[in-house]
Amino acid sequence: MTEAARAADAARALRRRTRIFLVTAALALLAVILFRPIVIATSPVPPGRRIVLWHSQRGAEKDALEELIRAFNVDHAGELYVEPLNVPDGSMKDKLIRTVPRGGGPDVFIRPHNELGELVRDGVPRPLSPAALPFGEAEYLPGLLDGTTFAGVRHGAPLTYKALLLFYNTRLLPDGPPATIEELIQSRSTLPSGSYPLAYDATSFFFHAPFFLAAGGQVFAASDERFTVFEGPGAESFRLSGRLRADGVLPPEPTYNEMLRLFEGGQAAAIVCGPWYTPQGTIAASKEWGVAPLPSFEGRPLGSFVTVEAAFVSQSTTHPAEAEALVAFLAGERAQSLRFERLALPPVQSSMYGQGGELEASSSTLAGKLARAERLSLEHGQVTPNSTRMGAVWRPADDVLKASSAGRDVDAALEDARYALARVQTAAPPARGPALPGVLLACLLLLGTVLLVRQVRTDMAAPDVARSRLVGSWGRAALAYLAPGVVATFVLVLTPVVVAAGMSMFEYVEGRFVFVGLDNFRDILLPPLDRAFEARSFYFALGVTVLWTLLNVLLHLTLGVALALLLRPTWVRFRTGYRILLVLPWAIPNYITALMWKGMFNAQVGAINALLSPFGFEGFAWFDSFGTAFFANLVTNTWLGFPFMMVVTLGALTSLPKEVEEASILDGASRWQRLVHVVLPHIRPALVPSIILGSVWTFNMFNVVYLVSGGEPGSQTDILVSEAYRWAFERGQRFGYAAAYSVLIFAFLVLYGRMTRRAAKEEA
Amino acid sequence: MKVRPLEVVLVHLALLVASTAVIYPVLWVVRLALSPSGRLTESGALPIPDEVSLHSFSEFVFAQDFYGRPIFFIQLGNSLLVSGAATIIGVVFALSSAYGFSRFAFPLKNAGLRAMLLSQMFPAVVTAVPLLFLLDALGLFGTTAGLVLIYATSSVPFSIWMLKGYFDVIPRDLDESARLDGASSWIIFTRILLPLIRPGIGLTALFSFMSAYNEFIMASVFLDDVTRYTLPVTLQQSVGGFDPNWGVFAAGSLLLSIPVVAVFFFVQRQMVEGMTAGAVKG
Repeated sequence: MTEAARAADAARALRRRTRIFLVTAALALLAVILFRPIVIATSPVPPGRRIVLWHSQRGAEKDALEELIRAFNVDHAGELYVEPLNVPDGSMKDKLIRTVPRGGGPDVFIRPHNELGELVRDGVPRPLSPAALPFGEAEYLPGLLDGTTFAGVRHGAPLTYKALLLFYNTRLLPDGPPATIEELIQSRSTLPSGSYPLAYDATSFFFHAPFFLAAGGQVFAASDERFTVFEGPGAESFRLSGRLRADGVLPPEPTYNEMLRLFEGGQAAAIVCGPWYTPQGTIAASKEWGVAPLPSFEGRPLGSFVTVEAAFVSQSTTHPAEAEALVAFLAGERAQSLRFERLALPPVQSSMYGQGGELEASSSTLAGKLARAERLSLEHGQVTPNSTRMGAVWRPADDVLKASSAGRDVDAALEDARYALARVQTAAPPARGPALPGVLLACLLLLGTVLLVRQVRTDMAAPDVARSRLVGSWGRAALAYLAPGVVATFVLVLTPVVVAAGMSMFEYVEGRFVFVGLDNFRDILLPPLDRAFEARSFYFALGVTVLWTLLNVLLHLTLGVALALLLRPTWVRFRTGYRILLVLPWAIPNYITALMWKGMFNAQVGAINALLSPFGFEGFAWFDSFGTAFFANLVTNTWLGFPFMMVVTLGALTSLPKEVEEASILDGASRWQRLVHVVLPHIRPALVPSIILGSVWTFNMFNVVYLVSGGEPGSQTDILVSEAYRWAFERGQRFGYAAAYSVLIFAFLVLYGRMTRRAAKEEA
Repeated sequence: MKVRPLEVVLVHLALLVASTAVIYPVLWVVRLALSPSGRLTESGALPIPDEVSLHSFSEFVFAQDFYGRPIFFIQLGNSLLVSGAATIIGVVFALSSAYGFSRFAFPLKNAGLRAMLLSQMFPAVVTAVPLLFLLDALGLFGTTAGLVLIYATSSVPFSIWMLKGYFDVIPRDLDESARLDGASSWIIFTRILLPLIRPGIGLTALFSFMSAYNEFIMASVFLDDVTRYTLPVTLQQSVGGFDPNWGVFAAGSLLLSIPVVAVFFFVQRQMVEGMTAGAVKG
């Protein structure tokens, strides 16, 4: 058979295989897509009014909630029914803020109380009438109602509360739980080597809070809501992590997962954790654990920040009476009992507790002991402040604790943290006059129109455009072809960009946008000189971002092109298999793989350290220094990014005609010469758009930096886009600031685009 | 052309090393998905599981909603529908515009192309808010159609750029000779150019599909009915809060990747084998 006939046969077979595949795929797809309408059509809709409940609960808590809802539905059958919607925890607040103020959203929602300030500011919850509270105010445990009250108005009904307590190892502490931390420290002498008296997440302010509060620390000054978290005795308490770690009381890496690992392996005498935790592993198998209230420290009893899980009615509900009835039910007697029996969650009525905080109903069961421990934690601690500014405290405080645990300079860390808070705390810039934005907008529109007209005139003078005008119908045809994509882009992509850019001249204060002109840019671009080149400043982040982009693109390109070339020769067997394997990093969602890489770089149990242990890498803390944390991000992003370049190169290589290559072989070119002078130049035009786009995406690659290094150490590995994110969501909702950062990112990339174009033109 | 055995060995070695390095983290995800406790407490250098349990997978696949309906399959359908529709719409729009940009001369052409590129440069963190406002103004908030529109239009600029590049590679002479034969621009577009850039279309479609399919941030804020959720939204529910369920997260992510790998498998065969047949003929 001739080669042409064989090829024609192969093409026919391919077409037939393709057809079969397409038909099967289409049928399967149809089946899957029609599944939903069929199921919906065949499920009955209950009669009565619909009350929508949004929550973020999972597992056993969700099951208990659904059981309660079903009971409520049975009680009210015919009049109304409750329909729950499960919302991912991280999206709930945004979802509420985006929907409720505009009339959408749920009737009732369940949320921990600490976001209440922000939710009230954005007009989400509806003030609760006394009817919705199932028990009288005095019946609630002290402090719980404060959590669900904001600006003097009650918004939510407490369902339960969660506080930190002590889990202890009954084998390592045969005399029972320690009454004081000092006692626990003393037990170090009786513990086997490799075990630690105490393990808790000493890098998290939430877990450190018991010590902070016992030392007399206060997050806000009582009088004016000024931040006082890094002042006074509270600030001193931050040094404790470092001290305890240096004394060998805390393990070398005092983090949450490490704490659980040590405890479950029987290597920690006591840990501080919350009621959501049930020990697993060896300690669970041998049942050698117990729960107890937090011990005292330096003579003062310890209590934690307490989270109140509460039910709220939303402003947009059209059935307020029914919604409140649901809230009262979910917070009421029956629900309290169910939660306690099923989930060991403590009830909220103070009458259920005796003098010593124990639950009168069942003090000796695990649930009873948990309740007692949490009750005492509440008594000695406080409900987490629900102020709108509380959100800005966590990260700076965590950073100070991390510095302390790592043995770095705590005073410098405190200074940094105070500065970070000061930037959040600055009184909102004075609103400029209302006429100014209007005038500015008019000027911009005028400028835009002038530039546009000038550009049109220049283009029209160009020879090829002039020619096409003469061939009339082609010009109109162009419009038809361009219209769909261009219109879609302008309306749904560019308009939001323009609006977001405009947002940079406003600041989001107390739920409203206030015009501040260029103040945001001034703050970002002109920081105090001594801070201008440190982490968290614009210039530092810019430098890190540029380095990040350059290295990544280089690596992606090199690896992608090299692997594509390796996969090119037809004699390579299992080519398809290799291609599938090598494209997996791209195919699997990067939120799981980025987290897996983070886990692999973990100092204690990470696979990377295990692999490199012959080289002495055991216990190496990758995220403790800029270079190694940056490296970890780089490795992860390279792993994620090279398949794209590889696939693009493979595509480009297929269009290289064989004859050209064969001609060069006949001319006597060596393999290397062929590569450099024939193959690479041919694929370059196809690669250039991908390289440009790839650089832009890498510049703005938020996921990897946020998930892998998390900006560690101390925001040093944060790139510009993750800084923008933090300003929007972690430092007090400074959306205008984040928008200003975005505009600067954009300006920088435009400049870069200009420079590369000029370079390309000069080359050509 | 003779191939030296040493070369074969070296190439295979390089590919094996690369594949192993690439698949290593994936194996850890698999181990996490198969672990009975849903946590990776013991570990070493090799992701070999001590105990294997499929309960994370079954928990994800056989999940039921409040009314006892098999929610995984419903949401799988949603994911495929939304991503598929967004890809088709986006690629069609982009193809048409890319043809216009590549083959026609008109004022503001370069400005338009730059605008496409510039739209990619603005971080999505802040554009999400105005976009949601816009959709609400259009009355599409919370609808599947609205989500499809968001995904389709956000992939258009990138697709236009990529496809224009593929169009540009084909010489203008082809157009000219067809025009001399009396072909209209539509005929040139559909009969002559489109078949030649099939690999480009495949690649662009794959990319659009993947971005839409894996996206969860917009979807979780936008959709308010559990029967309209896409799979990534439910996946995100298993983590977050105090006690994340990593096992289900890992299992779900692996299951989620299967359609993408399938689409890639199909596209890459089209890309490579379709083209070599054409090259010999030409």
